[in-house]
Amino acid sequence: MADERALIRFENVGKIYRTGQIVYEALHDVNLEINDGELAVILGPSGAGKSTLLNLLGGLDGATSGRIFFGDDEITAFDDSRLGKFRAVDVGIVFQFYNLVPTLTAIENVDLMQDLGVKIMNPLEALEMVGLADRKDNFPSQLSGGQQQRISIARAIAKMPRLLLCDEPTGALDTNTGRGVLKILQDQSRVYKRTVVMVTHNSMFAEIADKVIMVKNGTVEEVKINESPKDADELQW
Amino acid sequence: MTRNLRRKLLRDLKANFVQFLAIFIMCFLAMFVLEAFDSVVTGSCNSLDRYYIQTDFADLEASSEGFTTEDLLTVRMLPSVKNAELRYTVNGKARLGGAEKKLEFNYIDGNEISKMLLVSGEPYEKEKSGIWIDSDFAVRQGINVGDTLQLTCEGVDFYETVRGTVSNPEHVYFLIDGTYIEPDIGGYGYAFLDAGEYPGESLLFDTMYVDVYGVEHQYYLTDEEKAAIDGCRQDITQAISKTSLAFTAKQKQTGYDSIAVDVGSYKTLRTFFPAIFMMIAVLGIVTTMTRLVTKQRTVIGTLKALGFSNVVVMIHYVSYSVVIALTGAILGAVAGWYTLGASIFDAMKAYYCIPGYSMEVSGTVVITIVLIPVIAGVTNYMACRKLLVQRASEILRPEPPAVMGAGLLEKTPLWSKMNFATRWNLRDVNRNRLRTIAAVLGVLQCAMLLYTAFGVNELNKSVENWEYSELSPANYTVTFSAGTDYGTVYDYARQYSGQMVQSAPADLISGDDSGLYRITVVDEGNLYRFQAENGDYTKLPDHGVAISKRAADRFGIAVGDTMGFRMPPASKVYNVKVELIYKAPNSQGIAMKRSCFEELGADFRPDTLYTDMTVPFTYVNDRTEIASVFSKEQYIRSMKAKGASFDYSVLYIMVIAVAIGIVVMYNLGILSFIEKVREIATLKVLGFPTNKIRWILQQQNIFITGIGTAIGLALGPTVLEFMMAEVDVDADYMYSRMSPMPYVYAFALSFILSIAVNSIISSKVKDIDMVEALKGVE
Ligand SMILES: Nc1ncnc2c1ncn2[C@@H]1O[C@H](COP(=O)(O)OP(=O)(O)O)[C@@H](O)[C@H]1O
Ligand SMILES: [Mg+2]
Repeated sequence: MADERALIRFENVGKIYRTGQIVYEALHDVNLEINDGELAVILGPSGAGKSTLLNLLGGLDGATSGRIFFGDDEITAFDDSRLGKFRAVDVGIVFQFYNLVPTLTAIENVDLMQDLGVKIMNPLEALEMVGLADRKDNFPSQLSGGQQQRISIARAIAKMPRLLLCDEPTGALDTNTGRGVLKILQDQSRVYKRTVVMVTHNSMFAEIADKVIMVKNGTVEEVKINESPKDADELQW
Repeated sequence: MTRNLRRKLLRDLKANFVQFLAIFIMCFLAMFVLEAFDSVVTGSCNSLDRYYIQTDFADLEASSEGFTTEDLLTVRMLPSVKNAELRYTVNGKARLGGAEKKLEFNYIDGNEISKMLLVSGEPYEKEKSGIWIDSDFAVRQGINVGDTLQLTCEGVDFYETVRGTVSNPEHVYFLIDGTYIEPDIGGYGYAFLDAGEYPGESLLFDTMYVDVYGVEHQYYLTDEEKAAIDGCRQDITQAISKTSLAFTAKQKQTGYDSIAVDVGSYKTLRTFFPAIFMMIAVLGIVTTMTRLVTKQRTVIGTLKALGFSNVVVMIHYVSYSVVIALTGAILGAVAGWYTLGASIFDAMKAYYCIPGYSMEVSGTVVITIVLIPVIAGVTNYMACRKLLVQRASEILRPEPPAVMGAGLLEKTPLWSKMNFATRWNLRDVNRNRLRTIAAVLGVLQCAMLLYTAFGVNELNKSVENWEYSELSPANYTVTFSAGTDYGTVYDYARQYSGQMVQSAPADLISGDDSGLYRITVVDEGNLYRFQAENGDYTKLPDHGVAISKRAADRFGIAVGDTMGFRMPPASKVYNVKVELIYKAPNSQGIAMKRSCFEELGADFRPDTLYTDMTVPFTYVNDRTEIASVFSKEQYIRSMKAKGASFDYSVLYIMVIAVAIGIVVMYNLGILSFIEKVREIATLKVLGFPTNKIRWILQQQNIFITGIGTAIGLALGPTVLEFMMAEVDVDADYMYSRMSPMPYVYAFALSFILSIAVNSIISSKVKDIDMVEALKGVE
């Protein structure tokens, strides 16, 4: 049945949004597995439910039905504070709009993870990994979108999480900058053996993934295993 | 909190400097006023209490023409009496280096009750020779222990060696004779000697100090203790029959009573104004913090998404307001203590002699200092909680814009007739109700307190004219020593063409209710007059009694009612019909014609003479029957001096009210401006000229100021009357004759302030960078 190596498992997950009278089923019958160390891409058109899925996985939101497992833990059973701990320790999140704290400098935004009480690498090293050590004392408003996204990645990887979640990390970036960001993310999986889950609506990005999960109309339509994923450097779009 | 969050906190504080400064200032000022008055109130009561405890201040003081040793023994045997002592007090002189100084001599037969407290030298012992002298007097006159003083008492010159310098609780508020209206500490003095040192023929004790059973407290008397004192008074009255036996209960002793009155008026200021300021401050905190939290929605969502626990995020945000409110409150208290508090205290110190007299911090203040940040924190917590209970993903989604118009108003036909600016402003006001309410309240308190301050000023100025030109315009007032007979007073009245008046304490009784007031009995003449509530002169009724407005209000008495009065220590109750209600600036109670008084069977014993002829001041020292001679000018001067410290406090409060008004207007103005920057930028892009936009903003401000001022001015008179009534229970003012000027000043000042502040804010319209403002959704 379940793959022995699966780090993440969704079992019949459903998500219903209720706003007043309006009920909207964003996800239904979602079943999927992602292995430890894999780079998985969640691919689908806008509005398909990709972000919803990622939010459930990261514990930013709760499922309406079904169960989600992380290793042996069922995160759908966690309470708010346990979820917070899960996010703090195991998950690194890269947001589409970076979400840096505007009143903290680049390096302070990374160092912020220390305030969580988790062990992190030297923040300068994290900035070096994304090639921005020289901009460490700049505030977010003094950096370009791509640079801000790289800081946000540095922030996510500084604490060396087992699971790295990225929602449209290149959504607001141009091709070249985007490629650089993808490279960093791919390395996280290839070099550092982290599990990386990336959401995108761009099917080109599927080529760098180990596993492609196609989402449409709120459910998983197809899962493809990529035997020979491309290097992020080679990507053209 | 950890390093980076602390950094963020400091930078956020800097970025929202105006808002946080506003919160700081409001907390600062609220605490400033509270501590300024409270330090004096608490310090005075506690210092006096400690002094009384140390010296076993008498619970009851009895006076008569003469107490014998048998009287003392009889009283000591009474079950309600713990201890009693005799004393004879008489004024004399000390000759000091050629100058004569007035000295009050106290001949004592013990030092157990209302003891003298030794400052230097050796303690008193029974039958020990020598003199113990008032330490303030000693210091000011350069008298040292061991000096020999040349003294005059009861016409006898004699010498005594100074054994010690002392202070005494009976002399906390000490006027040596009727030539003084205010204390002159050390300018005259008091001294204690053993009864055996009395230089005259034979010593007759005129005062008995009594320590009453069941009275454990000193300053802070309970109702039971007051009742015990009263019970003891009755026991003594029954046990010894004396003519002219009179009592002073502890809480009516001049020192105790005048401190209590002063403290009472400052207590009102202490409670009333800080409460208003505190309320405004809390509203300011709520609006500001709600906005800050809303503005940081994304950051809060991100922190939560990154794994920060609710508690950590909460502490981070709550600490903004807590830190600011706490520093504001503490610094405000310190500043209040050292400025306004210190100067009120100095004024008190010039009146009262209390060893170790100091200002003090009360529990109330400490609690308030803690409470201010707690309230700030709680309001802040509420704002945060609304967000934090949500899922991280929800917080991160931008808040759906409030689609709110001007409510029901938009459905009325009136709406379509309004121009764009009015509609825009009404929508804005409706969308930001809390902010609007806070702004209205800020203006309201400003206008209200300005009215109060200007009103106090006008009333205080007019009371002088009212009292000394209209009600008692006599040039000279002569009071006679207790026990002076009618014939003597009558002779003076004829010589000086004066009007005789008797004024004494009276218990007014209405049904089950009673209270101590004064009775004034007036002989024929036109130097002591009365006015009805509307300010018209009126004559005392030919039959029955007139009652002052405040006393009538207290008992709910109307013209035509019947009431009783009693003149302690006598227990006979007279029942009379109330025929008139009059306004009296001070000494509330009842008044009646001499003829009516005598009709009741009472004895007219005038103690005061009003005259327009000049009476020599020297009579006070030369003639034993005359207790005091004061000119109108002296009264007016003393009235001004007494009012000065209070006026000063009112001035402070006015300045603070204005300051708070400005802070509130500016803070909320800036908040609302920042919220509207995008809209204003859009208007600019559409081609609206700067001045037109500024006028639109100013219209909203005028609307808010108008409402605030209108309510503030409507409440003003009530607040003024309430405050004046609380400050001095015996005072009353001619509110009906007030000029419209307090309204005019308060109105004008509130509007000028508000428009000026708004102009400063709206001057930023021309600096708005259209491109920048319209670009980023932050
Ligand atoms: N809080 C919400 N309330 C109601 N509907 C929502 C909410 N969040 C997302 N949706 C809806 O769920 C669907 C999936 O959204 P999302 O997961 O963001 O899509 P994707 O990321 O694939 O573009 C969309 O139709 C969206 O409108
Ligand atoms: Mg999405």
